[in-house]
Amino acid sequence: MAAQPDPDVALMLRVQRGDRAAFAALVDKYKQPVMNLVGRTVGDPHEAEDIAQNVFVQVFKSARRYRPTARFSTWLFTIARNLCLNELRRRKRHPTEPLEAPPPTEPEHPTRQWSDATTPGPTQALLQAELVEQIERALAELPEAQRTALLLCREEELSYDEIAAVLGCSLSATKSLIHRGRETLKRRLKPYLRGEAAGRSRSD
Amino acid sequence: MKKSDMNESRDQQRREIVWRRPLHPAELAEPAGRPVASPDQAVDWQEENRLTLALTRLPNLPVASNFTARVLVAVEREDAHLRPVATAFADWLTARVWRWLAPSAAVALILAGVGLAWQWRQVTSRATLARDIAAMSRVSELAPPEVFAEFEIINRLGGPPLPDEELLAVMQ
Repeated sequence: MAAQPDPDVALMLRVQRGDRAAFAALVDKYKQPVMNLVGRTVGDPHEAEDIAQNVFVQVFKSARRYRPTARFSTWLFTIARNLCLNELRRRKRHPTEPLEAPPPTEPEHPTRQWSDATTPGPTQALLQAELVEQIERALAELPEAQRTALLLCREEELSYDEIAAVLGCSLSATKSLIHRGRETLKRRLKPYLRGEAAGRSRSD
Repeated sequence: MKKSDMNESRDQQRREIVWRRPLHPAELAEPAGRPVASPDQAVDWQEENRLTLALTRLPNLPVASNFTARVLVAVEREDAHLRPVATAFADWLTARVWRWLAPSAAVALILAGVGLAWQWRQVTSRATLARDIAAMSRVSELAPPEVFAEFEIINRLGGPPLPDEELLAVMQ
């Protein structure tokens, strides 16, 4: 079966020729998945937004060097992961104490909470929200490579080979990372996964 | 291939499916790769499925509504920053080029002039030589040297031409 041409590659080739509209289209398409990855990797919402923006700036600056040898999303997530790793290394070299007071909420930016814990309503929704919070916490405590592997698994566009390319390791090593990450999450979330709330989650 | 290997392979394939998406109820109802020896094994697939559901249902993190606009502004800023650098480099290169180009051109012109002058001198020297050779070739037309031994003969040979008196009378 012939591989489908990647429409993002066509957009990126237009970006190489200076087409700003094509670049804006790529940003619109991938800003959410990039933010999901970056936000759950670095943790801090403000830094996450800066890094996510920088991902696309790097894409633009590197446009001339881009070669359509792989899917655009693989290249994009590789840049995103590398910028996240840079940030994590920077934090290790220069650890900082978090501010006690949260920053004031700006009108265009809603309160930055990862978990949807503010939704009132039936017990089901509250339990689901609690599960989400627990998953976020468990994900944050995973080693970076396992966490990134699991987060990239959520991206339907990426195959296991492409996830391996982003992580820079072999296919078998990637599957091992995913398996170990999931085993850790299952251990930590067992009470929630066996609970009624998780079991009542409607499958698609 | 052994049956156990086939079962493990089926298990692994199923795991790789549930890692990406929740299994459908029909898929969940399928027997696993190897016979379920204990209820714990049956639960395992349920847990895998629930975990995948939970991961799938993680909410999207908030993205500012003007995210794309801010990226475009940042990109324009990068472009504007690079453009003067490129212009400055071009100016620097032009200055360097002109600095050695003018003297080089002058030297080239001088050398060309010297070369042309030398070439012209060569050509004219040959022409002069050729004339001299041609003149020398007419020496044989002169009278033999013995003739010049007689003064009288010399005297008669060297005289100016006499006026044509008849022509003068006609003209008058």
